[in-house]
Amino acid sequence: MNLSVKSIARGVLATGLLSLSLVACGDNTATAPAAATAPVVATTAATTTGAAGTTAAGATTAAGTAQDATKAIQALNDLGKNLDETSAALQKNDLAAAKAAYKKFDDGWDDVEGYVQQFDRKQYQAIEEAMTPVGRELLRNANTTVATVTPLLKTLSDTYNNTIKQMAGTAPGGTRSATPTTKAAAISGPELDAATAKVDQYLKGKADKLVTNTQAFVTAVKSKDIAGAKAAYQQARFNYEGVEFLAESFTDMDVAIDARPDDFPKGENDPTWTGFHPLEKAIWADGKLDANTDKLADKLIADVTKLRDQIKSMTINPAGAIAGAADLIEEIQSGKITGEEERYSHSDFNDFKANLASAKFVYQAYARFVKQRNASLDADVTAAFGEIETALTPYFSADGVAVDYSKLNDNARKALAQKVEALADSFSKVNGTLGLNA
Amino acid sequence: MSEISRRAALKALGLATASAVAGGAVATNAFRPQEQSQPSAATLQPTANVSSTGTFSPTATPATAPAVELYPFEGVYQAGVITDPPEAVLLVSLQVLATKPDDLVKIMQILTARSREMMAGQMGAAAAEDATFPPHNTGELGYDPLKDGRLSVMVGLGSSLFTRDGKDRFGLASKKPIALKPMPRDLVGDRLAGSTRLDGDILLQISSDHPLVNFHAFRDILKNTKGLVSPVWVQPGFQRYFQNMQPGEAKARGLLGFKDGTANLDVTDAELMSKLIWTGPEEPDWAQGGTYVAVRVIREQIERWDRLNLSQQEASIGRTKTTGATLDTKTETALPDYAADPDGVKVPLNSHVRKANPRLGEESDKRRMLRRGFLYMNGVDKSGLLDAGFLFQGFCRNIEEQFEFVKRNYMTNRHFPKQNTGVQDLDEYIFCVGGGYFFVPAGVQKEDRFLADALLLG
Ligand code: HEM
Repeated sequence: MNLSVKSIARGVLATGLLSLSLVACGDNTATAPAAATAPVVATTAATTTGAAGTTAAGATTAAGTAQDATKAIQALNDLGKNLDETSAALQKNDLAAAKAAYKKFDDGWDDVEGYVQQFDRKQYQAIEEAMTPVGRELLRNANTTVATVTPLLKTLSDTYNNTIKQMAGTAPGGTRSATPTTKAAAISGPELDAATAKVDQYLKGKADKLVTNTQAFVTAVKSKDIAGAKAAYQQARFNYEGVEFLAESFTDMDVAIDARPDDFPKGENDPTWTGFHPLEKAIWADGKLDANTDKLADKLIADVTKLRDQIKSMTINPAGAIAGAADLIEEIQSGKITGEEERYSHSDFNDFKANLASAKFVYQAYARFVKQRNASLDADVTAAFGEIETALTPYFSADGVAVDYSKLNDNARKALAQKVEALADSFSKVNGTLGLNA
Repeated sequence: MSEISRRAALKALGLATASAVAGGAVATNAFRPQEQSQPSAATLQPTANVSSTGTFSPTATPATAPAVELYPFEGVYQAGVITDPPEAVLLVSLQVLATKPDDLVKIMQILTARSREMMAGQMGAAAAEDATFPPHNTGELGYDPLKDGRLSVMVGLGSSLFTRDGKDRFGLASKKPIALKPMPRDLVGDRLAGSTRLDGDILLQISSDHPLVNFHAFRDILKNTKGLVSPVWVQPGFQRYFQNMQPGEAKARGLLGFKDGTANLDVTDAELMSKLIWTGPEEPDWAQGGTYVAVRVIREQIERWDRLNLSQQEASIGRTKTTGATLDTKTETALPDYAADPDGVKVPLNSHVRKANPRLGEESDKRRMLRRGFLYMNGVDKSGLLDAGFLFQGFCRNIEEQFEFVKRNYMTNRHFPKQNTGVQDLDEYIFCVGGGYFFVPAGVQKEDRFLADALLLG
């Protein structure tokens, strides 16, 4: 994976995982219980230093709109009173008063439309569209009638009030650009919490395994046992790839552990390039383990252990977990566009499998909620996971070792990629279906 | 070489007559050859009909024909830098095969003559055809002069023309522009290993309103430079411009769907151009009044981008997708206030706009560059994913102090503006797969002169 890969994670984790985890990664693990189902809980992100810096993107949506939203709703409510007045005047058959009241609304709209625009462009368009006929009748048609205007005004009022309601509904966190017209209510409840607890346990269990397997790898490296190191490498990588999206929320950790040489000014010769991949190079490309690889190995196990501790202090929430799983699926593809991620060991299939396994676990934990709301989406996602698993089977030996990815022919590569695309496409709708925004 | 002998050299190549004819054609097209073309008036005129709803449908405004139909070849600056970009581009990297300095003169003379003639709309050699020879005009654009299309052929020089593998190829090493060098291979995030689109002795930025016109110009140039140069890589690109935008509003969108060009430099501001784009006394005499260009072929992971939430996309760029406003403002032209948002709560610290221009006053103002990008699509890659992206061109007075500084110290500096901010978020979805650094010499101002003659004859 590439060093810069932290972005989705940022968008995602700041709102989902990290906002909560930050409290934890600071000092101890006594995290406040996750407001598990709140789509956005980002106030902590903005004020925390260190890794929080990397979360700015996600935090924006949240904290930025929190104050804005309150201000906006106030202003929209105030302006809306003119619509109520227009309506009251129409009921009294007083067209002149209706005109005057509507004119005030029309004039004032310019000052507040920006809020609606920022909140949701569809909603904004809907209001503008509803305003057009009312304006035409009330402001420009001298011969208009109460009967003509009344239904038009009702449409406008409904659209307008509906918008305010939706803005109020998302105000605490705000989803600047979501589409509330179709936005499902966020799921919540004890069953969801239980599912999240399962995911939490799974991922943290992986983090423990990562330390164990990395230790085995490091031991082999330090005893200059190339064959042993090769065998241990895949297992350690498998566990890393499974929790990668969590690691990405700590940019510095992910860089230390999993960066590719392209991400350093001096490439392969860069002394600050550390983690799995310089060791991968030493083992497969150079065939040489020495004092330098000892140092790299010591640093790797120290970093991985630190990462494990950080991961353990995180509190997982559903939006973050699902977006993280989506990121894992994207990872399968994106590293492969130019060259291979495991460019020395060619064990990319192993990474695929790990990405996929974690993504699938997360999905399955929440699948029934998806199914309740959109059975065909659940069917698509489930089928897509199945397709890829089947497609991957031939690329592993009986004892689970991945075949050399570089040997994959173009047709097979394409077939696999297109299956991943299908999965990623369906998966990108999961959070929205559950009313979550990461 | 005296003026006369230069003319003679042209004549010998059979090109002078043709260009003289072309000069006439230019005049009848009613623009002033001495002035470098300005962006077309039409696109700079404020329009009255942008309503509050207009924000959503800039495309709906009827297109008007560009005021300038053909760009003059002659000018203080080469066309293709501050001239309004037309809709199609062909980036061509050439390798010089010739080894003698005289051959280099010949190459530049041919490029000058062919560009001069074709930019005037004369797409085939104006000389009469002789039935016993292969025709000059390849014919695919017909035989009438083109009256529009805004063709320009901008020529850039790569550092390998001056020195290659430590060798002074043409005795020009001492005259190399001060900041010219090969595009660095160590820019963080670039994926250049195995790239077939890197560097070049000469860059041609052929642009016009139609890909066929570009192709014709390219074909014509190749046909006339056989044995002297060979093309190394070629990359076509395109763009679609909205007409009637307000000053300060972008006229185009990129493949990621965001407005592109909002905060670009105002090319009508001559003072700004002189400060940031055109080289001055810091350069050897021959290289003054030119500019540098960083060409970057940037692959975008389109499919992946298309699966991001809108809010994730906007956080990555730092602007609102529909309106183009920065995330802390409401309109496209409003200026962001980063000082008021030190933690990036509104405009994320790692967003593209904030990383590309942190707006720190003079310190970052002097780093700005003129962007003239096009989009590309080369079909699909081995995995069946769109092989598409952005052909970035950043023009700078000093490529190291502007483009490269911004790239290294802002965009990919993980600790800018704060500890652990990370590289710019956009780098998750894009990466550079090719390009090069080139020096773009000043324009040709007289009929008897040719591109870079001050370098080659001076
Ligand atoms: C695929 C690649 C890129 C995409 C999609 C992209 C997109 C954008 C967009 C949407 C904007 C905001 C609108 C505007 O002001 O034009 C922008 C601004 C900008 N971009 Fe890029 N860009 C890319 C590459 C680059 C590169 C390579 C550089 C230079 C190192 C660069 C430098 C800038 C600058 C300086 C601004 C203006 C920032 C400001 O002054 O606020 N961009 N870009």
